[in-house]
Amino acid sequence: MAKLMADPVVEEYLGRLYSAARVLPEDERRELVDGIAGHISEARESGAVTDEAGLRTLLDRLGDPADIVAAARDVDAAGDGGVGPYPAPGAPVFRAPGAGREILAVLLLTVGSFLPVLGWLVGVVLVWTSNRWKTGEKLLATLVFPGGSFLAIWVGVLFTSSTQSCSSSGSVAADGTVSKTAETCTSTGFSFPERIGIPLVLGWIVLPIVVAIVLLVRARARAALEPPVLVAPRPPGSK
Amino acid sequence: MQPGGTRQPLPQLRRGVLEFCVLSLLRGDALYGFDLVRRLSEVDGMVTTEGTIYPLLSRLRRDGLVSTSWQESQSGPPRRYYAISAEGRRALSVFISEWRRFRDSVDALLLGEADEHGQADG
Repeated sequence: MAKLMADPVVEEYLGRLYSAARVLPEDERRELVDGIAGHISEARESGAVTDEAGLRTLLDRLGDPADIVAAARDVDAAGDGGVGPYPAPGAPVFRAPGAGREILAVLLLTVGSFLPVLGWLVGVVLVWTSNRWKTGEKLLATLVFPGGSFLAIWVGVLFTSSTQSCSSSGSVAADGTVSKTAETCTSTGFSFPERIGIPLVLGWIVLPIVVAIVLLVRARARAALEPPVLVAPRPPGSK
Repeated sequence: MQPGGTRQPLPQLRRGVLEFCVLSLLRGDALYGFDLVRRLSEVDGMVTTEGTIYPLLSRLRRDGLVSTSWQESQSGPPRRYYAISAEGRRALSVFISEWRRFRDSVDALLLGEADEHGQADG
């Protein structure tokens, strides 16, 4: 191998190949250069190449590095089911349509409602302007998340912490024992009985999460059926 | 493309069928890259740019049609051997039957045309 790398002709060839292959993903680039380097080294080990002329013939038969890299991009394109070859610098880039808007909408309806009313409101607008949900699903999104998950938590906090104050009256006997005579508790504020209140609040938190997952899955499935979108031409020289 | 130039359909055709020729060569024993390329090159008209076989092998490996393994070599550094996978065999047998039909259809059309021209000229 040391002998191989020391040969300026081979070194120059592999250098050109490595440089041309910069348009490939890094692991493919390394695999390609390793494969070709191995090929050259095998040819020399096998005794098929003995002098400089033989070496040049070998490299000619391997082909121009640019052609080899072009072929690598061709086979990538053929194998990836039509997404396209790794684009040449400056060529337009297509990608599968994302569901970013729908993800944002669902996030705002749930987590975004931490910002009371406003976050949820923006989420509702996003839901209704998306074309990836059917009207029924939009209604579901709007009605199941009323005010958003965090509103449920706010409300839960409000209801369960309704203030309670107790006062006891009693007397201390002469022998030091305390006799309690009366204890009165008063609640201020409205409170659901715990039996109803806790499941209600939990449902308000859990149901939106279930609906959120269903809506996200559907939006993504529909996005996947749409044709690829043009993102942007690559700036020349970018990887 | 090339005004007045001749079309070159063969490079495209070759590109399309080359991977199945590679798979065919691997039906027997596993081969290492240099050996595989040498055998392909011995077939007339099969490979013009030997270096392009390597990206093809990488893609076949990524697609699961071949598997690779490193094996020690007596004469030099370890060699990467390529072997056809079960999936590769399936893909190859599907291609072989499709290829036969396609080849026969093209032959029927091309040779039919050639006969007509032969009669017209004669």
